[in-house]
Amino acid sequence: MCAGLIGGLTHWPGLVGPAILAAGFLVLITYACMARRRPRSISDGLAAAIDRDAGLHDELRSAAWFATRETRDGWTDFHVDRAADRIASVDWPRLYPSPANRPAQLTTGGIAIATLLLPVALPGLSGVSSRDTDARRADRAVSSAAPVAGVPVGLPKELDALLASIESGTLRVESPAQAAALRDLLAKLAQLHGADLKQLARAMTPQTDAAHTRSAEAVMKALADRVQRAAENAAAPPPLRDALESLSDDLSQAAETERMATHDPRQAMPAESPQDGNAVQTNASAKADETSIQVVRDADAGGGAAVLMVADPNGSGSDPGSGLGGGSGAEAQKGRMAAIADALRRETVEANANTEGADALTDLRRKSERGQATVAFTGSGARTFETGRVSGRPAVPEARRAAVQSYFVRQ
Amino acid sequence: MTSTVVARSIDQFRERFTRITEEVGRRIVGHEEIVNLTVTSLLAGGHVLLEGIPGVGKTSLVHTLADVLHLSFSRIQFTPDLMPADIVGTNIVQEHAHGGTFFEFQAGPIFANVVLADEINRATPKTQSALLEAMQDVSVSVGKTTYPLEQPFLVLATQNPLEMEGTYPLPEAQLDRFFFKLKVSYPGEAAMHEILERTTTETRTTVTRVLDAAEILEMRHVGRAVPIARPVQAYAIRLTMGSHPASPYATPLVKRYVRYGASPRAAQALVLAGKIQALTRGRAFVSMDDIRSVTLPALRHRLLLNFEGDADEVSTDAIVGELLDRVPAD
Repeated sequence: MCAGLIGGLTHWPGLVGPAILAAGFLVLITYACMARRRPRSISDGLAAAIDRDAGLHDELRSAAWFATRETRDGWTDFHVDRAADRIASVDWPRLYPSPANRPAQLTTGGIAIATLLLPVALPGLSGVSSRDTDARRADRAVSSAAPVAGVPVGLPKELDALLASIESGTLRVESPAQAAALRDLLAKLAQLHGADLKQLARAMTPQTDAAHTRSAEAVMKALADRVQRAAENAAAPPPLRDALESLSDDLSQAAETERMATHDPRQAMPAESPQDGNAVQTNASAKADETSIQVVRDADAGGGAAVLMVADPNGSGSDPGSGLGGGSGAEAQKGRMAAIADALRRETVEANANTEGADALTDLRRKSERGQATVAFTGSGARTFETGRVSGRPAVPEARRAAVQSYFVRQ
Repeated sequence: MTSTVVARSIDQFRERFTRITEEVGRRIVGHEEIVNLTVTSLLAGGHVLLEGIPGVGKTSLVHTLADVLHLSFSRIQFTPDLMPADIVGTNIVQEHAHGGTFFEFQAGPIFANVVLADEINRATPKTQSALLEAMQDVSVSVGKTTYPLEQPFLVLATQNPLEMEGTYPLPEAQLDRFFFKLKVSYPGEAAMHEILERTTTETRTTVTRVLDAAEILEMRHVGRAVPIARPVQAYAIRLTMGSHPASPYATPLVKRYVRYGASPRAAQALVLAGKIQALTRGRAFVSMDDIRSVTLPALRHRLLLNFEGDADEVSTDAIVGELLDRVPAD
């Protein structure tokens, strides 16, 4: 059974397990035959016990003692020979009935047959092996997936490998090269938004029939869940967990947007056209790369509170204005707008949800800030902005509420 | 010696033993075990002390045994005035035909194959001790001359346990020289009928001589050839040592009532008698049962009780019985 189990887990060929078992049986039978032929000496106590049971009146005990002596004479030879004859005439099966019973024999035979047939009939043998096969198949699917627009080539595979290593507890970041590769991967992931996430999720989904039938929302949701589980893995480094959590949030939000688009295409616009979203671009003239400070005012926040986004602290922006930093092209602004909107919503939700303030742990708040490296709170109202261009308070994304709540409740 | 010879020796021994006991049983009724053990002692080269009230057939047993075995027999009635010379013999002055005198040894009744020492406890210890050398060395020393006794030599002594007045209990050294001490009890009712029918009618039961001295000596030789395994021999030793109060095998009764336990002669008796018993059962080995069957007659007279034992009138049979119960055979 152990050989079959090991063979199944390590994907031996189907006949290797039974062959090992057959060899084991052969060895056992050989040993039993040799043991039967091997001369064995019995102790005096055992001989006495058998004497009593068989009613031999100490004949076996006495003969056993004389049999071990080197000096023998006619009397002892006669005694030993007669004892042997007498012992041979004893009905031992009746005296010592076989302890084995029919059910036990049948059970043992059934187990032996199952052991022989198990590796042949069930190559997968167990859920562990099945999962392993699925993982290999998914890996092959991810690796064979065609490059997707907006998603760097190889990113799905790298992400899948990262998640797998976290799930299996084999993640190791020991060398500087590994750390640099990890940082690069996280940077690539941070740049994904909206449709990129959708493509990423699609690329990481195994190309099976079931996968084709799954909706984009389900695919993203599944990936979000997987990423979230990886983010909750305590063995992962904190920065990595934060980045994964952010990715999970993005995926969840993208999935929600996809869901809403499925039911009401107009609600899907923020993801696809951030310029028409809740946040309003106030300064379209500034270059996207040079935007340094963007201020969005919460219309309902009383005027004192604002969100200050530092997109590029070292940049030499020409004229930072209030509102969403604009880019020269729609494509360039597309991802940035979504990120800003997401960040704003996230921080807004967090502020609303933590009205007490003290309830939010410092490290969690710090964690949240670290996760959105370009976002920070500030009470400064030094910047001027046009309230007329600011649309209403962005609606709290109800789809995120449960995730945010679960996040704080979990912690 | 081949297995065939051994098998024939065993069968022959068993057949002769059966002939003796059956022939004795024609005259002695109701004492089969006594007869068995007496013959066992004879074949082991030992002497027997028969104890029983008068009239139970002790003397008749000895007479019958001597008749059956075709051995010379003499009877010595022990009395308080019996002298050692009356037993072993003495040198008497004889005259030559041509004149002059010389001492000639006149052999006593001890010079026989079977000697009945009737009521041995009525003689003085000095006279009782006259038997010591004869019983142990099968020889008699008179003056400066030692006279060997003819083999087989068997002393069968009787004593009456009731009439203790005017008797001299046998000293321990004398007792230890007896192979067995057998207690002859009353025969049963059926045996009594048989005794009356045989002794109160005109018909007298006659016995035939079934064995001679040479055959008995041959049986003795066969008896000593029987092998005994070490575990069985160890059991005999444990039984003997268990009769000593300081022994680790000592039982509670031994520790409380026994002053001195059995001597190594007791172990010798156990083994030798065990061998004879094994042969009588057709076996070429000694079993624990053989040892157990002869333990009581071999040990009961070899235990010397202390004052407390005498005061409480403890029976040595009870002590030996406890030994048999408690000393482990394994």
